[in-house]
Amino acid sequence: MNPAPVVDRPAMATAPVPARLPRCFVWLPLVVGALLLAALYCVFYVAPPEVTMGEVQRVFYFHVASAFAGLLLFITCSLASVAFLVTRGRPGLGALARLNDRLAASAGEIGVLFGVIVLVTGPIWAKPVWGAYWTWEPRLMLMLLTVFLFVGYLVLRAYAGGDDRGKRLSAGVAVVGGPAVYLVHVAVAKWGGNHPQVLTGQGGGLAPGPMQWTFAISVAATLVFAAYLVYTRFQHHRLVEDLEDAFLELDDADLNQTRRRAPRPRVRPPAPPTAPSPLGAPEDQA
Amino acid sequence: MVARTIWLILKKDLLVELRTREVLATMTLFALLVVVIFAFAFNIDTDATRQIAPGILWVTVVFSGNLGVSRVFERERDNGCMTGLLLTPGGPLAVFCAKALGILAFMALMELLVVPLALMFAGLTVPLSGIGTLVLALALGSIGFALVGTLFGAMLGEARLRELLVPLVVYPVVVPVLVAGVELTAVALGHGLAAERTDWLLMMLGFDLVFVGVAPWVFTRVMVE
Repeated sequence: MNPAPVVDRPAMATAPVPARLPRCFVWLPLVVGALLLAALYCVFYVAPPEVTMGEVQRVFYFHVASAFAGLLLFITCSLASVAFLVTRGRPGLGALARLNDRLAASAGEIGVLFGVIVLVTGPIWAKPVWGAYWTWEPRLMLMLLTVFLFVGYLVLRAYAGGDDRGKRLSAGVAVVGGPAVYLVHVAVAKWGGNHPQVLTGQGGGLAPGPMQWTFAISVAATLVFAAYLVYTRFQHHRLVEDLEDAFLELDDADLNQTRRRAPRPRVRPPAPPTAPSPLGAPEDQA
Repeated sequence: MVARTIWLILKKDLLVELRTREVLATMTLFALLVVVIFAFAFNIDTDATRQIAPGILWVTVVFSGNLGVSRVFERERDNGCMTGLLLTPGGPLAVFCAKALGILAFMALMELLVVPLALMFAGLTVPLSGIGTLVLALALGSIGFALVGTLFGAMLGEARLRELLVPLVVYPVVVPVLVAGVELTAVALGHGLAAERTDWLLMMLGFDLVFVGVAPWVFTRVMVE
């Protein structure tokens, strides 16, 4: 007769949790912070004020950079969600599916963050230059609707539960978001508008020289910062999932152990003698 | 097999509707109320504000379509009906097609009642040459909305906060339909840019074609456990 294997509970509790974060979390924030400070220094001290728009033009350096970061992250979220839906449920691709899901979630979160930065810095610039905080202009609408869509993605992720269903549903929204954002872009672009075209060099007010390379540095710093934030969130999601797995395994171990134990006699322990209540219980009065 | 399953699910939905008249009554009444509220809010009986009639019409169509989507999937929520449907021989693809066709049928019936009444309330008459444009715009727009609405309505049918989540993701996606629909209706009424008619129709057609491909694929990948 084989004795049942004994489950070593403390070992089970510690084994599956890789509680350590990658070492780069020590030096990466320093590098990213230094880059951001360098960009800030360039924006405020190196770049000259713009001739017609004045000092407020400086908000451009981060406004445009954040728009790049936000749109790149939305595209990442959409593509990673496609990859998640393709790899999901295929044998042998489970790890890849989880990786894509985490990447999509992280990119969606940080994308919304940068989208909101764009929507906040835009009006700061627009009020003195255009004379209005907001105009119904194609690119503003596109950014607003894209942020709405991905806020929906995040709300769905948060409220549909952390299980596989929530991941599937939110991935569906992100997948539809890709072509939808493109179609919205085409639709609203037909309305025409007066948004400055920084990249094609019309109306952005970026003179060659310090202004242009300040712009390059701030774009680089913002993109690195965004990538760092995505990486942080990615690690966060990984830890949360590992922790959940560890809890599940612990539960299983617990269950196995109780099952092997001899059935406990179903006899109630004798009730401890109760002190008579000073107010008197109802049956005392009867 | 798929075609048969589509037909059976569609028949079931239409039969339930014939006996309860729940979806169509809700959609039509709600649409009429929206039109009336807009008429009060914008003081529509002056010539200047008649310009916004196309906008009112399309907001009504989209709101009412959203209501229809949520009513149609409310039915499948209890007793695991959705799971049962997904297990039919046609699979998720058949379920999607049947539900999209059903919602399209409800929207078409609602529009048949509401659009003439809305135009009448606004004191507008469509010139004979514009009727084709208006019908085409409503048809293409409804197809696009039905595709997107069915996808998200089915996906989020069991989610918490679905009354918030479905509009939150559907409205941003259907903005191209809304924009093109408003422009085309203005053209049909004779005060839009007639030269852009083909562009907007092509945009609606493109939207429909994109989501005819994307929506069923996403549905089959998302709804299967």
